[in-house]
Amino acid sequence: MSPRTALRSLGRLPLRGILWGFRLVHRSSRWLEQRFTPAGRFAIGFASVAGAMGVDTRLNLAHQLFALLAALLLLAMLWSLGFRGRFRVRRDLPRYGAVGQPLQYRMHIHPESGKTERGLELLEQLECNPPTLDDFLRERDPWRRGRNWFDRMAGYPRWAWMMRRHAGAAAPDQALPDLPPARSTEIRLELTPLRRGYIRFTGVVVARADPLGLFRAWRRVQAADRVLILPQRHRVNATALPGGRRYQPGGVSMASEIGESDEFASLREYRPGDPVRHIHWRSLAKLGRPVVKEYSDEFFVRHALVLDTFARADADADADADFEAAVSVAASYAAAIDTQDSLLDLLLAGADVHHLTAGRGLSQSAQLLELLACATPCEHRRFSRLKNAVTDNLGAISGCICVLLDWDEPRQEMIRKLSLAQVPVLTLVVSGRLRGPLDPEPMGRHPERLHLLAPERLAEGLARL
Amino acid sequence: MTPPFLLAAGLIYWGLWSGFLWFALPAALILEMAPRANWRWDVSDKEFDRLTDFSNFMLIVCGLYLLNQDGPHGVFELINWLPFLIFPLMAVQRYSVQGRIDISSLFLSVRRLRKKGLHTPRRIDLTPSYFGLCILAAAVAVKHSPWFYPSLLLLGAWGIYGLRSRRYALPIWAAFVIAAAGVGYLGQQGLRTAHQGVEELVMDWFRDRVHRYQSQTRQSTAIGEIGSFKLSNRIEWRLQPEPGQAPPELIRRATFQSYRFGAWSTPEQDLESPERAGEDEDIWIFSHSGAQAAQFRLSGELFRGRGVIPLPHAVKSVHWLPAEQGQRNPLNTFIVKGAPEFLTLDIHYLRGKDLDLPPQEADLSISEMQQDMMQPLVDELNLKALAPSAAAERLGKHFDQHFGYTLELARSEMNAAPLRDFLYATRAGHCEYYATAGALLLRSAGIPTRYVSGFAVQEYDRLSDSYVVRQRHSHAWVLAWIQGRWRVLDYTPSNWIELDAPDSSVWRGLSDRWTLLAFALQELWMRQDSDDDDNTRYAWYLIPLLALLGWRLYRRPRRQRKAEDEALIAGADALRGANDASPFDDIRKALEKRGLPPHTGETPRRWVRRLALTEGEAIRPELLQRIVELHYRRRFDPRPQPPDQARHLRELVERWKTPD
Repeated sequence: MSPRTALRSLGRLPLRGILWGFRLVHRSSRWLEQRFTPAGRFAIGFASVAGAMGVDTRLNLAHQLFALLAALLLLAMLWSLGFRGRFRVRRDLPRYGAVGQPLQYRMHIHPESGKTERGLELLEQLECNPPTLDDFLRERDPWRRGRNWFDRMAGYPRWAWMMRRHAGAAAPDQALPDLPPARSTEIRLELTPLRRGYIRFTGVVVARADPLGLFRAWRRVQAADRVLILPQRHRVNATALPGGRRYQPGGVSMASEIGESDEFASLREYRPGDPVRHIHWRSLAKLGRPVVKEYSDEFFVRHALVLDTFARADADADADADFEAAVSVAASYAAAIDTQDSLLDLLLAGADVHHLTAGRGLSQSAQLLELLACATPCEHRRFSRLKNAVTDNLGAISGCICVLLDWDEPRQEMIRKLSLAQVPVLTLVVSGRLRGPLDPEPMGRHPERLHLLAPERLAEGLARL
Repeated sequence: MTPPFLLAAGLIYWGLWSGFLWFALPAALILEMAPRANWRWDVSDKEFDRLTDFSNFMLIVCGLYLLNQDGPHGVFELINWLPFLIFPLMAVQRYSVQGRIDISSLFLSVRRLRKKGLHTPRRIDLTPSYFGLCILAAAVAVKHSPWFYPSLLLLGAWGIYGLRSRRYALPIWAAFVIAAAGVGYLGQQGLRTAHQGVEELVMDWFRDRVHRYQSQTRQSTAIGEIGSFKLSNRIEWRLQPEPGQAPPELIRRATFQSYRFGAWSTPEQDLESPERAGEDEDIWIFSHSGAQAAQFRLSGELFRGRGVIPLPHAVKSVHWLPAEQGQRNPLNTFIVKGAPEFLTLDIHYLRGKDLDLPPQEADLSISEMQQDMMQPLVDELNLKALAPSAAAERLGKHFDQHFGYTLELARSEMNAAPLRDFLYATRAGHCEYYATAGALLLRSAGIPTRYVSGFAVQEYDRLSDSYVVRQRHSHAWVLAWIQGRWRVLDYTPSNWIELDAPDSSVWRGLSDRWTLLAFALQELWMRQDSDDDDNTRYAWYLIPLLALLGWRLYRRPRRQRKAEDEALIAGADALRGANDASPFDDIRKALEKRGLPPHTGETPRRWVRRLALTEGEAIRPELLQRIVELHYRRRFDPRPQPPDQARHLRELVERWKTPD
């Protein structure tokens, strides 16, 4: 380790200490929130105040109030040690959810004790990895404008917001009905996803309150599961997309290289390089020489949806907001484009350039949305990778929708190339930082197809297109 | 939701205990009528804001007023007034359409979020909090009442009745509440005892810090103080006599000659250093008398290694005292400096003997006022006419028959002189009274006396097999010169130890055990320290080192894992680096320029094969195929590309681009 690195590491030690403190506080506060009922938390609060007021036992009788509350809480906590219930659970999760929209699902819970279980509660446990120091320093929560200077300086409210976001949703909890023995009972649960991507369930907790209703005894049940939350989508005018039908050599099968096309046209002589599976064996047997099936070429609409995932070098929390908005725009189009009679190619860059085609019996647009749900910003890479992937397919695409995060030279260069190749392109620049109007030169003869969208007024902006 | 009438009960409860029933009754009526009223106020959030601000304003004004009036105690009075101050907010909530208040009305920070449009409305019901506030205010208002706890329990049980889980039958809930009541009752008793104990501890600490260094020339007494005079249970010394020997009954700290204004003193005199012996000069010789000496071991702490060592009368020698300096005055007060803070001494003394210097003029000194005070009793007992021994005995009998022992000091009249009060009115006091009065009375009878302060050795501790000398075993007695030697006269009623002993308690037992453990560890430490050959003290230093080693070892797997992860990431990066622009891209561009782009989805290998068929030598297919192979290796091989391979690929691409 170089001295500079060592010094930098040393300098970050206090910050790591603070983060460790946050983790402790967060864990303690979650424990209090989940283990104590609202009445229990109320009792703790009042016991603390009574204890503070009753320090001098000769001055007043607040210490009696404190002693009584402490005794109630102590007995309630001791009672929790005796909870021996055993349960099995199974979730019926939908395949997808969407950001901001309540996700309803069913859970089957099966008690393994021999008696009816009453007065229980169920708490979902979601996987939640704490943010790293770099994430914490970089990210700023959207509520920061409303926080006071102390909260902004201390940073804990931001930490708490990041933890909620990492979990993906507020863990639902619910009072359970009476559970008859040796039978499954179905309950309905609902959670509202806070972000796209996978929400992972680690298990459930079956809780039982004490007779006083102050403290919950817990039984954890392992039940790992996950559900993919698709990006938030807005209404878009998909009929305004540019481009008409284009010649697709080899038809759909060649377009995607999967399976056989139904569009068999004729037989011809075998040429070296033809796939062996295309050989028409009957003809071979008859003629004594290889003959292959030839498929008809097709003309159909094929759009490319290009999502810019390349973060700026000076990326900050606003860049994250821009990226999320861009994903949302891409998802809106991916969901809106009719892929029954056309194809939609989604291109976005991650560790590699991802290229997924949907439509006409190939992948469904749902799979595009899945890919978008897991998209992450691409740091430390060059935009040229995406540009090359787009320009490689110039000949086949009818039109292109580019969702960009900036309007700098490399991006303008890509648009210019598309325009020069006579590919109709709709360019949507999503940025809270840029102020219009943008330079329309790369758009060629269609400057009206360049739009700047503000992340905080996305729905409005898309509806006006 | 709070049960019906609970809120009213809470308010009335507060009114009863605080004396504000005149307010509590109508207020309770107003609040409880709300659910039965068929009208409501439409109160906006802004109006709730103003009401909260008004309540806060009143809180601040009343707080300032009460703090000004009552000082810090004003805080309790303010809490007592809280049900008043919060009542308007509570009443408006009860009669509002919403029935609840948004938290933004209660907290300025949340209000700011609301103004910026960043707040999600969340309404809360203040009823349970207001109820709790009434109970708290009642508790703060009452100083002492045997009815408070039972009434609190009943109200509390009513309040939590609605919370009980339907999993349990009512008798179980009731049993819980009763158990909690019992535990709570014991708990509040314990709190009071703990409070007392902490107070004593603090006082002791303070007293110790101020009076730790015993002056050899002056000691104040508690004569004249009024009130309860108690010393702590803190163990000052441990005394272990030789097997088969009894311990000395008294060990003295200092001896004084003059009494004035509640304090005994002695004039500054020349100090001398006892003879030292032993290899380490840790043996202090006080007397070379050849008489058979009894001995005991004395252990204890010496604050900062300096102070007075309590010794028995007729001490012969003190062993194992490695002090820089030790001096004694002619009255045998022995002070050391530069000694270890924890001492274990071996003390040899002559039981029943006297080695003090003969009396001086000061041992007969008595002021005129004191003389006048003592004279009536001296005359009554006819002490002057008796021989010294008889006089001492007569005085002792008088004290036994007519006087008692007490630590609860009082005066018969406010202006009465304490000693006079003790001798002729109250006839009760503690050892300082007896010793002072005894010394002065005998001096009035012409017998030289000295006042001695020290400790009584009475309490045997079975666990440590030693006698414990506590602070409350501090004692005072008289030395009287009778028949050519100093004799110990203890006029304090002999049952003073029992009367002084506090009630035994679990806490005291635990405290003693803890002190014993600390004492044993200190002894062990000292023993190790004194042993040069086998100095295992350094073994203690290993503990933090072992802890550090353990932490480092624990961290190492994590660091190794982290390093492995980083290597993996670096490897993945290397792999991803392979996706960066390849020299093959130049070929792709060149062929596209020539109008020979690959078909969509066509792999480079297929593309080249197709072009080889369709274009033939024009595209130099063999060279192109070699380039494609290298490109594939660069693209897909997870191992980092060797530099010569990368260079070779670039050379081939350049060669292909250059026409023949």
